[in-house]
Amino acid sequence: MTISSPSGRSVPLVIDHGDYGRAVLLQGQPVPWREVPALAGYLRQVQALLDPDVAYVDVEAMMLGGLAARPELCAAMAERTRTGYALRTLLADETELDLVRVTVTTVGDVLRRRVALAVPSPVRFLASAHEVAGTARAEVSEDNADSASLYLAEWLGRLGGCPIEMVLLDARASAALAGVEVEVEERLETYTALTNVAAHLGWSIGLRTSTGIEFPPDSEIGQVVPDGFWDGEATTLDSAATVRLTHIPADAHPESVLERLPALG
Amino acid sequence: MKRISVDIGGTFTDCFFVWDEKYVEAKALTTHHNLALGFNEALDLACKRADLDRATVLSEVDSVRYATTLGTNALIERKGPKVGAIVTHGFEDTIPLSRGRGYGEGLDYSMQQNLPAAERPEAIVPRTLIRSVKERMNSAGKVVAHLDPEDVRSVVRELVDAGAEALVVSLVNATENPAHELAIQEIILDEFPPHELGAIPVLLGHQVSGRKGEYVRATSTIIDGFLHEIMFHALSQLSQNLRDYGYDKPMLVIHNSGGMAQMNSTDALQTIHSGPIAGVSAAEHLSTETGLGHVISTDMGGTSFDIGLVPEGGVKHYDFLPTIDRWLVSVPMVHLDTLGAGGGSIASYDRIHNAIKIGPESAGSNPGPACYDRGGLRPTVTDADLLLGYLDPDNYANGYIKLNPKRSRFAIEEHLCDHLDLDVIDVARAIKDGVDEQMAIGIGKELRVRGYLPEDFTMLAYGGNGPLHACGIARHAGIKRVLAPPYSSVFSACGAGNMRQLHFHERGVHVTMYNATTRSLYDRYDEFNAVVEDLEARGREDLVRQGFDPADVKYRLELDMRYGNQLLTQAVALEDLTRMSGVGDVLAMIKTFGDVYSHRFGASSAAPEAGIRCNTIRVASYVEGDVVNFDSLDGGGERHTPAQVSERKVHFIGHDAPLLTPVYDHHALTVDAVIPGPAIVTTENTTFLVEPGWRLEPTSQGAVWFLQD
Repeated sequence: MTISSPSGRSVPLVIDHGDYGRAVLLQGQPVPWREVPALAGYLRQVQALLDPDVAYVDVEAMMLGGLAARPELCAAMAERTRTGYALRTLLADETELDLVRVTVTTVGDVLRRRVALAVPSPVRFLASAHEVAGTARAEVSEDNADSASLYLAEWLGRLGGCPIEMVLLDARASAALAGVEVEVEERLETYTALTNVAAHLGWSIGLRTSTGIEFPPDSEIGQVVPDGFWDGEATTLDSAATVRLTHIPADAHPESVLERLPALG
Repeated sequence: MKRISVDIGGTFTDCFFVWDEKYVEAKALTTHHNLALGFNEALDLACKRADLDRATVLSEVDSVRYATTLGTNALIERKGPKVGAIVTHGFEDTIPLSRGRGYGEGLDYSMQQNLPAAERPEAIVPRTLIRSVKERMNSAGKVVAHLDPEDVRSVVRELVDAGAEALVVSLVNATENPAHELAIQEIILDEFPPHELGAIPVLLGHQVSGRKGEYVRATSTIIDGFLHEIMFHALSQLSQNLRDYGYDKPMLVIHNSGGMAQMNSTDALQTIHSGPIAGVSAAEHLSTETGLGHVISTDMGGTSFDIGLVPEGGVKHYDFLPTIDRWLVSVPMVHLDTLGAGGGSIASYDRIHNAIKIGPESAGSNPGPACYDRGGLRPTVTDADLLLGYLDPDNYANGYIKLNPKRSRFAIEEHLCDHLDLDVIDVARAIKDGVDEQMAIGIGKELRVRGYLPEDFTMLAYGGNGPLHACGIARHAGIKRVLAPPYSSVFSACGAGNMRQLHFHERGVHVTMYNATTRSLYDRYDEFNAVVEDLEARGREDLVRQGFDPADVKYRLELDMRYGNQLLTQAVALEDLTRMSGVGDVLAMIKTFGDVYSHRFGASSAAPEAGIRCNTIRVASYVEGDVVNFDSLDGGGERHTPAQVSERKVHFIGHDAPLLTPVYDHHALTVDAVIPGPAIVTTENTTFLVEPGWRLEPTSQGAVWFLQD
């Protein structure tokens, strides 16, 4: 799959804008992930300011961040204690799926950009779901991770008609993973169900780790532009990269951001 | 002849590609989110095999033909506009009452026996969107009560205010005189002009179906109205995709009548089940070209198992009041019995019987069977086939899909093993045997209910999973020889390549061919002929609109006849008779009816003494065209066993231990070969499973015979 670059950049740019947007555009208010019209308006501002090549939609913030308002779903997720049950119940929930579906479709329509769907990696999603359900795990085995990847693949498959350009599996450390013994190193090659479903639906898929971003062989070459770039830190841009991903920190100076942005062109 | 035919199924998109003398088959997974992607992929594969490129092919082919499940899916998923209905005053509840048996339409036999427990289908037009207008035609088409335009205007406004996004008009006896339906249409167009943003599509009952019976005509029009917009956009998208790559001719859409037409002569309703019906057409053509005799066609794909009957020299069996989804409709449709049993059919635990239930739910292409490794979590028939050793995980669908046996095992263990207290292989055996038996029962029922015996028929097994299950089905059905026809994995698409432009038009009539009271024969020949001429004119108009010369149009007259006041009517095709000009013609029609009726119900069942009536006159208008040529199916000569490429352990029904089974590739399928069972032959597009006690004898064009020893 080749990621398109409607901005005209030579290498398409994906911007994880949540922290920066909240500080600069929303005056400290949280990103309205569960309010579709407000979110579309916010993302339109992001687009006007930063012109990313795909609209970055954070599923973890959208789904897990809003579960406090859905106590019945949290209760259902906590009904069984076996590892994976909470995630399976969460992903089977039609209301949550519809929210993601409507959000992605609306954002795609409003921005005329396809969407980069940032989804927690299977291990991270598994741990987060258990934490939200109040059934936190002490460890995650290889089999647990594999089962979680199947649930996630099935869920992604149900988003088939949405204007998604790429799926970014976020395997970085998170609060939910603190104290959880993870017996498996997450690698994209072990998540065949996820790569298969992405290939079938014509999406790119990448695994974002603390050290970079991994894509399947013979597809994109990704480069993560470090946070320091936005403060003027010297950064070598990989000329072989076919897609760049960057996170703009909340404390990045707006003038500096606008000044540095063309360097990624 | 240069031609592309595509059958978009629930799981795979099949492509049959004719380039002069070269016939190529190709498959790709159906991409439900954008059907054009699956089409392009299948076509690219076919082009690669023919050493051509897509742009060259699309600019040079004479036609692209589509059979699609789009309408079927949209109906099942209830994707469509809010439809409002206008009916004759006093008939507002005809649609919701649905003849008092609407609960049962579309359910299987066992559910129909327990109607109180049947779930009523969700109405496409709720009662709140049905309004009536004061008007009345009698059964002869004479106006009994005139239409009041102001009444119509207020009803139309009410419906639009209630949220109707499309309107259907279905009035009593409109087939005899459509004046009031046409007048209502005019008023709606006046109220909501087509050039304005608020324009509303209007469909008239008499234009969708010419058959008497206000309920079925209304449901037919409603479904047509419901599907119209989505089908229009989807087919336009497919058509645009073709144009983007240089195809500049009209796209042809396969009809469930067994014909096809351009989009400007296609109702949405006519596209339902068009794919499997293209397969029946191919079976008919194969039978005619090769002298196969009576044929029963079976198409086992990923989602369903379709059974069609093609008696030798006869016209295909038609359903004139078929059930689509949960609705009885009035559209001439090639008869097809569809079972929810395919490779993707989900096997679940039946608590009541402590057994495995297979289908009708299917895993489709997304997520697909568990072994596709796309997040499918529930076991399917394909998962069972894989664990039994029938499928090669690395060479399924020509290696296009890598199968993961670990997923199959997990799904079967997770969902079935504990409940049944059986080992995973035993469960896989039970799934395979169960689905084979289910399909065999369907075949037996289909034949016997029409007065035929299995031993008089050749069974054709095609579709992606047909040759894999052929022996198992035949074993259960008591059939000793099965033919996997040429291009079996894309046989329905091949059938689409053979179809001709064909349109049916019919009119409900009251013709007493023989009056038992007065003992007189029908003699109003001009009246009868006038109806036939009108129907021919409508068919001709459809074909001329698609660019055909009126001189090339041919017609076939068909009548629905019955004895006296019997409820059952029998369709009769009159091959050499298109007009009624004297007593001889009337007697010929009566004789044809008697012959057909007696064959179906037994020689002594005919009852002319009750009188003979014709309820419907139907005309099939069509043009002839180029067809795919099938070679002889006789292998002849001495046969030898080819060299195997490998062997593996395979589990068979009736054998406790796995058998070491030779595996062959496509090189083994030569006309002088014989492959004794057990054996597996894997080709680019399908897998042939030869069970113990059977042998496989290939013929030309990739066709093979399965013969019981």
